[in-house]
Amino acid sequence: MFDGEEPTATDFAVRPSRPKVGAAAPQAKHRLLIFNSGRIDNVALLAEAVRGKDALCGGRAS
Amino acid sequence: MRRAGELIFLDVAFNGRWVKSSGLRGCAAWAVLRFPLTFAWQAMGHGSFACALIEVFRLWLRREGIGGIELFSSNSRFIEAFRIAAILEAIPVTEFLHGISVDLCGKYYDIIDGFAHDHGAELTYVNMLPGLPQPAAVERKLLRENGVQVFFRNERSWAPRGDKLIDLLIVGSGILDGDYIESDFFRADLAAIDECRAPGLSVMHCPHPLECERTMPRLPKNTAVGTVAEHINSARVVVGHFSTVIFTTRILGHNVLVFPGAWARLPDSQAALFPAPIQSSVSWR
Repeated sequence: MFDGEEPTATDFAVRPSRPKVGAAAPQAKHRLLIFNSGRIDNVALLAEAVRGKDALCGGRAS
Repeated sequence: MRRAGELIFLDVAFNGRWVKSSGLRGCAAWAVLRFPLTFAWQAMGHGSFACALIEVFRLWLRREGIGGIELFSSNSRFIEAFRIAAILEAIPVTEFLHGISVDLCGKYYDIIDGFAHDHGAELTYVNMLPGLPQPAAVERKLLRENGVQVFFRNERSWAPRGDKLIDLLIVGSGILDGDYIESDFFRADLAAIDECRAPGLSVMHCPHPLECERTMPRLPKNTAVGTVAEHINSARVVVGHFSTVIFTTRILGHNVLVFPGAWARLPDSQAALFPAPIQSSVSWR
């Protein structure tokens, strides 16, 4: 539903994409980040946090 | 077409001047419109909007190829519906905690924990500050590295100690089960302001972000108002009821007092930050 562009601290947006009707499910697994831009200081840090967590988890799926 | 393993950002902050909307509400509306029959069938079968919403979220997660959920916000109905949908799909969920929890939330995390176990979904939590007390179900699954808690804190940095110190900084609270402005908590804030200003002490009130607009016009005239980030390092003493700031400042070594009315509401794990023999001495009166 949404593009996966990583937002920056000053310019971020969640933009709707329009999947084609009947399109096959994507094979690659994506990650959904749910956040409240009004309650955090730096949106750009979210992706860093996820990558850092992944590294600590030894490349686990989550 | 997305690349493999992309991060998809969903903002739950409300925007729009006339219609309160958010990315998450938009996603829910989209999922309901995308799978109207499933939604209608589930709503009729369970008689519950929440159950129907969870079912369309499950379809949405499958259709979008979501393999993990990273929560940087939580405990709203829509977000929890998403979390439950993910667990039902055995999708790993990580929550980056953004504060402390009340007892009620602790019980909820217990339920979520058992639910995830039954459905084979992996839950992970990342603390906001090492040692910040969390419900037992969360503590068990905190991310650790070499036995040490990993933390992620995405708050505005606290300004360094200024030249002019504040004798008492009052941290405003938010309460889940009532109106803060009408609560004993706010009455205690007001009493403390008067009590400390009378002998000439400097006092600052830092309203809770969710209560800021309603709090400010109700404070005594000429009360200094500021933000925690800007002023907390310049406070000689910090006092409050139930706010994450009270516990983070305590962990970071500040002088912290807790209003007496708050002790009954503190979960044991949080009260334990203030050892029993000194609890009375760190109370306001």
